[in-house]
Amino acid sequence: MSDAPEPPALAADTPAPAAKPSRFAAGPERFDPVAGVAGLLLPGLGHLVLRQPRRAVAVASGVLGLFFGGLLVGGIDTIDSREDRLWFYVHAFVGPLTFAADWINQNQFKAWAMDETVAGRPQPIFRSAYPGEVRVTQGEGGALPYPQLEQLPQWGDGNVFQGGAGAGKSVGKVNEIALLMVALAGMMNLVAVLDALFNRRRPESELYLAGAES
Amino acid sequence: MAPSFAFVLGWRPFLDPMDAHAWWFLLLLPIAFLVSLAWKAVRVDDIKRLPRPTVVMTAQVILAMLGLGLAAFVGLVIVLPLLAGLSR
Repeated sequence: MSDAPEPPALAADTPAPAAKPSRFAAGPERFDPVAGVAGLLLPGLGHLVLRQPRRAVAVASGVLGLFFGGLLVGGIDTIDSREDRLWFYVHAFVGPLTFAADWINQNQFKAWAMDETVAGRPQPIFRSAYPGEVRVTQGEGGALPYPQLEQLPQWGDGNVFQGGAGAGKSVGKVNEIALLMVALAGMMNLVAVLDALFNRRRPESELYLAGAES
Repeated sequence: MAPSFAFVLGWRPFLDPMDAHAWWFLLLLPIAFLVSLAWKAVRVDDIKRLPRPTVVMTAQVILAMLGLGLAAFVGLVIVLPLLAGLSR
């Protein structure tokens, strides 16, 4: 048996001691739609609106690092609202950057190719270029009505078309990792947007004033 | 006019996919770090103390992935063949 004295019992009407307020909190949580919208426009911008520039830089570094890392690994075809629609819904949480990348992919690199066959007849399909294909925009008679994918001509061919290379299509694990990286960027930006929407932190200029740091 | 062959023959960053088929698993390292950075950026109270929690979470994610990989290896390569042998 221990002989240690027991702590005095609290009276029934004694209020529980309040938790010590954090020096980082400005008060109760508040809803800030401007910061939320700013965070959707550009990763980290929401926290910049809340006057938390260091946090904004950290959020932007993480989200944009994942976003551009995904594009670096998988190419611009990683973001494709037509062929990878479900993935695109998650990618879209990065904001206008995703829509810009998708627009560039759809309008500058993808093109029509006659390689789908239905009952023995070729059907046009809008897709990215395969290795050895070029995106053709000019024919013998001038501009084509729509860009087409053609096999890269051999040296010495008297080719008459004009265009440029399409963006290559990623496959296999590289495609999976790239899709995952951009999707993680979208999800992490959603977390950051929610944090900016419902925030209680004090501005960093108040927290880290010269001489006020602990 | 001929298309630009120079554009076709070389790897163009951000346009063409990277040839990472032999070392794709190493991409776990930057992914784990960047996810940890973004997550801890909104979780820590004192943003000046961001580096340490980020590094700790990165290590946790990598170790967890290695553990899952090891568990899958043990299950698929060792345990399942043993069970299949027992059932014969």
